[in-house]
Amino acid sequence: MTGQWSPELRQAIAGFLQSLADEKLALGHRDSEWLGHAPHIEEDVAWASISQDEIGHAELYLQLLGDLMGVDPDATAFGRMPEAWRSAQLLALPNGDFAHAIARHFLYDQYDAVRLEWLRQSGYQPLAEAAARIAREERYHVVHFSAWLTRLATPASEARQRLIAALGELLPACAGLFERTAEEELLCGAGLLPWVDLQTQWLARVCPVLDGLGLPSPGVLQADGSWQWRGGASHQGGRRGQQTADLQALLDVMCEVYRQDPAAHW
Amino acid sequence: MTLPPEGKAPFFVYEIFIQRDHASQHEHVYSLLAPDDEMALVLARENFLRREETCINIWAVRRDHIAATPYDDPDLFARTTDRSYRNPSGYRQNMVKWRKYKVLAHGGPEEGE
Repeated sequence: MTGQWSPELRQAIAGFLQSLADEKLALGHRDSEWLGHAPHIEEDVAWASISQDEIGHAELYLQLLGDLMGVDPDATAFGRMPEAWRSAQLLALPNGDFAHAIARHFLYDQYDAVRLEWLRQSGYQPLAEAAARIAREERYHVVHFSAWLTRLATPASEARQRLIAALGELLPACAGLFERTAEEELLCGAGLLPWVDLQTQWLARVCPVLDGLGLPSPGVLQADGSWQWRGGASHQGGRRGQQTADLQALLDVMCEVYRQDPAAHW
Repeated sequence: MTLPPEGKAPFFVYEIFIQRDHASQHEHVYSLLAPDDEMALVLARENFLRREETCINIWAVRRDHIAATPYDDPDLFARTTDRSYRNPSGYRQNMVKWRKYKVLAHGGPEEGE
Protein backbone atom coordinates (compact mmCIF):
# COMPACT_ATOMS: atom_id res chain seq x y z
CA MET A 1 0.00 0.00 0.00
CA THR A 2 2.64 2.46 1.00
CA GLY A 3 4.47 1.87 -2.24
CA GLN A 4 1.75 3.73 -4.11
CA TRP A 5 2.20 6.89 -2.12
CA SER A 6 3.81 10.01 -3.44
CA PRO A 7 6.86 11.31 -1.60
CA GLU A 8 4.76 14.23 -0.35
CA LEU A 9 2.15 11.91 1.13
CA ARG A 10 4.80 9.71 2.71
CA GLN A 11 6.43 12.79 4.20
CA ALA A 12 3.06 13.99 5.49
CA ILE A 13 2.39 10.72 7.26
CA ALA A 14 5.87 10.80 8.75
CA GLY A 15 5.33 14.33 10.03
CA PHE A 16 1.96 13.35 11.43
CA LEU A 17 3.39 10.34 13.26
CA GLN A 18 6.24 12.51 14.49
CA SER A 19 3.79 14.95 16.03
CA LEU A 20 1.87 12.14 17.75
CA ALA A 21 5.07 10.77 19.23
CA ASP A 22 6.46 14.16 20.25
CA GLU A 23 3.43 15.01 22.34
CA LYS A 24 3.54 11.70 24.20
CA LEU A 25 7.28 12.06 24.77
CA ALA A 26 6.96 15.59 26.14
CA LEU A 27 4.01 14.70 28.34
CA GLY A 28 5.64 11.48 29.54
CA HIS A 29 8.75 13.39 30.49
CA ARG A 30 6.82 16.06 32.39
CA ASP A 31 4.90 13.29 34.16
CA SER A 32 8.12 11.57 35.14
CA GLU A 33 9.26 14.72 36.91
CA TRP A 34 6.64 14.00 39.57
CA LEU A 35 8.47 10.90 40.73
CA GLY A 36 8.94 11.27 44.46
CA HIS A 37 7.07 14.59 44.57
CA ALA A 38 3.42 13.67 44.33
CA PRO A 39 1.45 14.62 47.44
CA HIS A 40 0.29 11.06 48.10
CA ILE A 41 2.45 7.98 47.91
CA GLU A 42 0.06 5.71 46.07
CA GLU A 43 -0.55 8.52 43.64
CA ASP A 44 3.21 8.80 43.12
CA VAL A 45 3.32 5.17 42.03
CA ALA A 46 0.26 5.55 39.84
CA TRP A 47 1.79 8.64 38.26
CA ALA A 48 5.02 6.81 37.50
CA SER A 49 2.97 4.12 35.77
CA ILE A 50 1.07 6.67 33.74
CA SER A 51 4.23 8.41 32.62
CA GLN A 52 5.64 5.07 31.52
CA ASP A 53 2.45 4.40 29.59
CA GLU A 54 2.82 7.70 27.75
CA ILE A 55 6.43 6.96 26.81
CA GLY A 56 5.30 3.52 25.69
CA HIS A 57 2.72 5.09 23.43
CA ALA A 58 5.37 7.40 22.02
CA GLU A 59 7.50 4.35 21.32
CA LEU A 60 4.62 2.77 19.44
CA TYR A 61 4.31 5.80 17.18
CA LEU A 62 8.08 5.97 16.76
CA GLN A 63 8.10 2.33 15.69
CA LEU A 64 5.55 3.16 12.98
CA LEU A 65 7.72 6.07 11.92
CA GLY A 66 10.78 3.85 11.87
CA ASP A 67 9.01 1.21 9.79
CA LEU A 68 7.86 3.84 7.34
CA MET A 69 10.97 5.97 6.95
CA GLY A 70 13.76 3.72 8.17
CA VAL A 71 14.75 6.04 11.03
CA ASP A 72 15.91 4.75 14.40
CA PRO A 73 13.28 5.45 17.09
CA ASP A 74 15.90 6.30 19.74
CA ALA A 75 17.68 8.73 17.46
CA THR A 76 14.33 10.32 16.64
CA ALA A 77 13.35 10.61 20.28
CA PHE A 78 16.64 11.87 21.68
CA GLY A 79 18.59 13.25 18.77
CA ARG A 80 16.48 16.16 17.58
CA MET A 81 16.71 19.80 18.53
CA PRO A 82 13.58 21.61 19.77
CA GLU A 83 12.91 23.26 16.42
CA ALA A 84 12.36 19.83 14.90
CA TRP A 85 9.63 18.92 17.40
CA ARG A 86 5.96 19.04 16.44
CA SER A 87 4.27 18.81 19.82
CA ALA A 88 1.67 21.34 20.93
CA GLN A 89 3.23 23.72 23.46
CA LEU A 90 0.78 22.63 26.13
CA LEU A 91 2.69 19.42 26.71
CA ALA A 92 6.06 21.07 27.34
CA LEU A 93 4.76 23.61 29.85
CA PRO A 94 6.73 23.18 33.05
CA ASN A 95 4.96 21.39 35.87
CA GLY A 96 3.18 23.67 38.26
CA ASP A 97 1.56 22.34 41.40
CA PHE A 98 -0.39 19.10 41.63
CA ALA A 99 -3.62 20.77 40.54
CA HIS A 100 -1.85 22.06 37.43
CA ALA A 101 -0.60 18.58 36.63
CA ILE A 102 -4.01 16.98 37.10
CA ALA A 103 -5.73 19.66 35.04
CA ARG A 104 -3.26 19.43 32.15
CA HIS A 105 -3.47 15.65 32.00
CA PHE A 106 -7.26 15.69 32.27
CA LEU A 107 -7.57 18.16 29.39
CA TYR A 108 -5.04 16.37 27.22
CA ASP A 109 -6.33 12.86 27.87
CA GLN A 110 -9.84 13.94 26.90
CA TYR A 111 -8.33 15.32 23.70
CA ASP A 112 -6.40 12.11 23.13
CA ALA A 113 -9.60 10.11 23.55
CA VAL A 114 -11.34 11.93 20.70
CA ARG A 115 -8.19 11.92 18.60
CA LEU A 116 -7.67 8.19 19.00
CA GLU A 117 -11.26 7.56 17.92
CA TRP A 118 -10.41 9.55 14.82
CA LEU A 119 -7.14 7.71 14.20
CA ARG A 120 -8.86 4.35 14.49
CA GLN A 121 -10.69 5.21 11.31
CA SER A 122 -7.49 5.77 9.41
CA GLY A 123 -6.97 4.03 6.12
CA TYR A 124 -3.33 3.60 7.11
CA GLN A 125 -3.69 0.26 8.86
CA PRO A 126 -0.69 0.32 11.22
CA LEU A 127 -1.82 3.66 12.61
CA ALA A 128 -5.40 2.46 13.08
CA GLU A 129 -4.19 -0.61 14.95
CA ALA A 130 -1.79 1.37 17.12
CA ALA A 131 -4.57 3.82 17.97
CA ALA A 132 -6.85 0.96 19.00
CA ARG A 133 -4.21 -0.43 21.36
CA ILE A 134 -3.37 2.95 22.86
CA ALA A 135 -7.04 3.83 23.32
CA ARG A 136 -7.55 0.83 25.58
CA GLU A 137 -4.74 1.92 27.90
CA GLU A 138 -5.80 5.55 27.82
CA ARG A 139 -9.16 4.55 29.24
CA TYR A 140 -7.59 4.16 32.68
CA HIS A 141 -5.89 7.54 32.37
CA VAL A 142 -9.21 9.23 31.73
CA VAL A 143 -10.75 7.52 34.76
CA HIS A 144 -7.76 8.43 36.92
CA PHE A 145 -7.63 12.10 36.07
CA SER A 146 -11.39 12.61 36.10
CA ALA A 147 -11.48 11.15 39.60
CA TRP A 148 -8.76 13.49 40.85
CA LEU A 149 -10.27 16.50 39.10
CA THR A 150 -13.51 15.94 40.97
CA ARG A 151 -11.79 15.63 44.33
CA LEU A 152 -9.55 18.64 43.83
CA ALA A 153 -12.66 20.65 43.00
CA THR A 154 -13.94 20.20 46.57
CA PRO A 155 -15.70 23.41 47.58
CA ALA A 156 -14.01 25.77 50.02
CA SER A 157 -10.67 24.02 49.67
CA GLU A 158 -7.17 25.17 48.82
CA ALA A 159 -7.11 22.56 46.08
CA ARG A 160 -10.05 24.15 44.31
CA GLN A 161 -8.37 27.56 44.23
CA ARG A 162 -5.21 26.05 42.79
CA LEU A 163 -7.24 24.14 40.22
CA ILE A 164 -9.02 27.29 39.08
CA ALA A 165 -5.69 29.10 38.76
CA ALA A 166 -4.24 26.21 36.77
CA LEU A 167 -7.18 26.11 34.39
CA GLY A 168 -6.69 29.82 33.82
CA GLU A 169 -3.32 29.10 32.25
CA LEU A 170 -4.11 25.78 30.63
CA LEU A 171 -7.45 26.36 28.92
CA PRO A 172 -6.20 28.96 26.42
CA ALA A 173 -3.15 26.78 25.77
CA CYS A 174 -5.45 23.97 24.65
CA ALA A 175 -6.10 25.98 21.52
CA GLY A 176 -2.74 24.72 20.31
CA LEU A 177 -4.17 21.19 20.17
CA PHE A 178 -6.60 22.05 17.42
CA GLU A 179 -4.37 23.74 14.89
CA ARG A 180 -4.75 21.84 11.66
CA THR A 181 -1.39 21.28 10.01
CA ALA A 182 -0.55 20.97 6.35
CA GLU A 183 0.21 17.29 6.93
CA GLU A 184 -3.26 16.65 8.30
CA GLU A 185 -4.86 18.39 5.35
CA LEU A 186 -2.85 16.25 2.95
CA LEU A 187 -3.81 13.05 4.78
CA CYS A 188 -7.49 13.93 4.90
CA GLY A 189 -7.41 15.00 1.28
CA ALA A 190 -5.83 11.68 0.34
CA GLY A 191 -8.56 9.81 2.20
CA LEU A 192 -6.23 8.34 4.80
CA LEU A 193 -8.12 10.11 7.56
CA PRO A 194 -11.68 11.42 7.66
CA TRP A 195 -12.28 15.14 8.04
CA VAL A 196 -13.39 15.75 11.65
CA ASP A 197 -13.84 18.64 14.01
CA LEU A 198 -11.91 17.47 17.04
CA GLN A 199 -12.44 20.71 18.92
CA THR A 200 -16.22 20.36 18.97
CA GLN A 201 -15.94 16.76 20.14
CA TRP A 202 -13.46 17.70 22.83
CA LEU A 203 -15.63 20.56 24.08
CA ALA A 204 -18.57 18.16 24.29
CA ARG A 205 -16.56 15.92 26.60
CA VAL A 206 -14.78 18.51 28.70
CA CYS A 207 -17.31 21.30 29.17
CA PRO A 208 -20.05 19.25 30.88
CA VAL A 209 -17.51 17.97 33.38
CA LEU A 210 -15.95 21.34 34.18
CA ASP A 211 -19.32 23.10 34.21
CA GLY A 212 -20.76 20.43 36.45
CA LEU A 213 -17.98 21.09 38.95
CA GLY A 214 -18.38 24.86 38.69
CA LEU A 215 -14.91 25.26 37.23
CA PRO A 216 -13.74 27.51 34.38
CA SER A 217 -14.64 25.87 31.11
CA PRO A 218 -13.29 26.35 27.57
CA GLY A 219 -16.72 26.39 25.95
CA VAL A 220 -20.04 28.20 26.02
CA LEU A 221 -23.25 26.24 25.70
CA GLN A 222 -25.20 27.15 22.56
CA ALA A 223 -28.93 27.08 22.08
CA ASP A 224 -28.72 23.87 20.07
CA GLY A 225 -26.92 22.05 22.90
CA SER A 226 -23.47 22.19 21.32
CA TRP A 227 -20.44 23.88 22.83
CA GLN A 228 -18.51 26.67 21.24
CA TRP A 229 -14.94 27.71 22.02
CA ARG A 230 -15.19 30.49 24.56
CA GLY A 231 -12.31 32.43 23.08
CA GLY A 232 -8.76 33.18 24.07
CA ALA A 233 -5.85 31.22 22.74
CA SER A 234 -2.22 31.04 23.76
CA HIS A 235 0.78 28.80 23.20
CA GLN A 236 -0.04 28.08 19.59
CA GLY A 237 2.21 26.98 16.77
CA GLY A 238 3.73 23.92 18.40
CA ARG A 239 2.36 21.58 15.75
CA ARG A 240 4.02 23.71 13.10
CA GLY A 241 7.37 23.68 14.85
CA GLN A 242 7.15 26.87 16.88
CA GLN A 243 8.53 25.82 20.22
CA THR A 244 9.53 27.77 23.29
CA ALA A 245 12.30 27.68 25.86
CA ASP A 246 10.12 25.22 27.81
CA LEU A 247 10.80 22.49 25.29
CA GLN A 248 14.49 23.42 25.18
CA ALA A 249 14.72 22.97 28.94
CA LEU A 250 12.78 19.70 28.74
CA LEU A 251 15.07 18.27 26.10
CA ASP A 252 18.21 19.41 27.88
CA VAL A 253 17.23 17.05 30.67
CA MET A 254 15.58 14.29 28.65
CA CYS A 255 18.46 14.02 26.16
CA GLU A 256 21.32 14.73 28.50
CA VAL A 257 22.60 11.18 28.73
CA TYR A 258 22.02 10.40 25.06
CA ARG A 259 23.84 13.51 23.94
CA GLN A 260 26.96 12.54 25.84
CA ASP A 261 27.45 9.66 23.39
CA PRO A 262 24.79 9.24 20.72
CA ALA A 263 26.60 6.25 19.30
CA ALA A 264 26.60 4.29 22.56
CA HIS A 265 24.82 0.95 22.79
CA TRP A 266 22.41 0.59 25.74
CA MET B 1 -19.72 14.45 38.20
CA THR B 2 -20.86 15.66 41.57
CA LEU B 3 -18.83 17.84 43.85
CA PRO B 4 -17.46 16.20 47.00
CA PRO B 5 -18.62 17.56 50.35
CA GLU B 6 -17.00 20.76 51.53
CA GLY B 7 -13.91 20.78 53.67
CA LYS B 8 -10.77 18.79 54.14
CA ALA B 9 -11.22 15.19 53.12
CA PRO B 10 -10.03 12.49 55.51
CA PHE B 11 -8.12 9.59 54.03
CA PHE B 12 -8.90 6.04 55.11
CA VAL B 13 -6.93 2.82 54.96
CA TYR B 14 -8.39 0.47 52.36
CA GLU B 15 -7.56 -3.22 52.08
CA ILE B 16 -7.23 -4.30 48.46
CA PHE B 17 -8.20 -7.70 47.02
CA ILE B 18 -7.73 -8.76 43.41
CA GLN B 19 -9.32 -11.56 41.41
CA ARG B 20 -7.03 -12.87 38.71
CA ASP B 21 -9.59 -14.85 36.70
CA HIS B 22 -13.09 -16.23 36.94
CA ALA B 23 -11.82 -19.50 38.40
CA SER B 24 -10.04 -17.74 41.28
CA GLN B 25 -11.12 -16.05 44.47
CA HIS B 26 -10.18 -12.54 45.44
CA GLU B 27 -6.81 -12.44 47.17
CA HIS B 28 -5.67 -9.84 49.64
CA VAL B 29 -2.66 -8.05 48.15
CA TYR B 30 -2.01 -4.96 50.26
CA SER B 31 -3.52 -1.76 51.56
CA LEU B 32 -3.47 1.91 50.63
CA LEU B 33 -4.78 5.30 51.75
CA ALA B 34 -7.59 6.91 49.79
CA PRO B 35 -10.34 9.46 50.43
CA ASP B 36 -13.18 7.26 49.15
CA ASP B 37 -14.11 3.98 47.46
CA GLU B 38 -13.68 5.13 43.88
CA MET B 39 -10.22 6.60 44.48
CA ALA B 40 -9.22 3.41 46.31
CA LEU B 41 -10.10 1.37 43.23
CA VAL B 42 -8.41 3.83 40.87
CA LEU B 43 -5.19 3.84 42.89
CA ALA B 44 -5.26 0.08 43.42
CA ARG B 45 -5.39 -0.43 39.68
CA GLU B 46 -1.96 1.15 39.23
CA ASN B 47 -0.33 0.27 42.53
CA PHE B 48 -0.93 -3.46 42.61
CA LEU B 49 -1.39 -4.33 38.96
CA ARG B 50 1.63 -2.60 37.48
CA ARG B 51 3.32 -5.90 36.75
CA GLU B 52 0.38 -8.29 36.75
CA GLU B 53 -0.68 -9.62 33.41
CA THR B 54 -4.25 -10.59 34.19
CA CYS B 55 -6.77 -9.36 36.64
CA ILE B 56 -10.50 -9.11 36.17
CA ASN B 57 -11.71 -7.57 39.37
CA ILE B 58 -10.61 -5.45 42.33
CA TRP B 59 -12.26 -5.15 45.73
CA ALA B 60 -11.51 -2.25 48.06
CA VAL B 61 -12.75 -2.39 51.63
CA ARG B 62 -12.19 0.20 54.30
CA ARG B 63 -10.18 -1.25 57.13
CA ASP B 64 -12.54 0.27 59.70
CA HIS B 65 -15.48 -1.43 57.96
CA ILE B 66 -13.96 -4.84 58.57
CA ALA B 67 -15.11 -6.70 61.66
CA ALA B 68 -12.23 -8.50 63.33
CA THR B 69 -11.49 -10.40 66.52
CA PRO B 70 -9.26 -8.78 69.11
CA TYR B 71 -5.63 -9.90 69.49
CA ASP B 72 -5.67 -9.66 73.26
CA ASP B 73 -8.19 -12.47 73.79
CA PRO B 74 -6.31 -15.70 73.00
CA ASP B 75 -8.93 -17.76 74.82
CA LEU B 76 -11.22 -17.14 71.86
CA PHE B 77 -9.04 -19.60 69.95
CA ALA B 78 -8.28 -21.96 72.81
CA ARG B 79 -8.09 -25.71 72.05
CA THR B 80 -7.24 -27.45 75.28
CA THR B 81 -9.09 -30.76 74.87
CA ASP B 82 -8.52 -33.47 72.35
CA ARG B 83 -10.49 -33.02 69.18
CA SER B 84 -8.74 -35.49 66.92
CA TYR B 85 -12.09 -37.15 66.24
CA ARG B 86 -12.84 -34.12 64.04
CA ASN B 87 -9.95 -34.95 61.71
CA PRO B 88 -10.84 -36.99 58.60
CA SER B 89 -8.00 -39.43 59.41
CA GLY B 90 -9.92 -42.72 59.72
CA TYR B 91 -10.49 -42.93 55.97
CA ARG B 92 -6.87 -43.86 55.28
CA GLN B 93 -7.10 -47.00 57.46
CA ASN B 94 -10.35 -47.84 55.74
CA MET B 95 -8.69 -47.69 52.37
CA VAL B 96 -6.00 -50.18 53.44
CA LYS B 97 -8.64 -52.65 54.62
CA TRP B 98 -10.71 -52.22 51.46
CA ARG B 99 -7.70 -53.02 49.32
CA LYS B 100 -6.89 -56.06 51.42
CA TYR B 101 -10.33 -57.64 51.24
CA LYS B 102 -11.65 -56.39 47.90
CA VAL B 103 -12.06 -58.98 45.15
CA LEU B 104 -10.66 -57.50 41.96
CA ALA B 105 -12.42 -57.70 38.60
CA HIS B 106 -10.16 -60.49 37.41
CA GLY B 107 -10.69 -62.46 40.61
CA GLY B 108 -8.62 -63.11 43.72
CA PRO B 109 -7.09 -60.76 46.21
CA GLU B 110 -4.21 -58.44 45.17
CA GLU B 111 -0.77 -59.95 45.10
CA GLY B 112 1.28 -59.67 48.20
CA GLU B 113 -1.69 -59.45 50.53
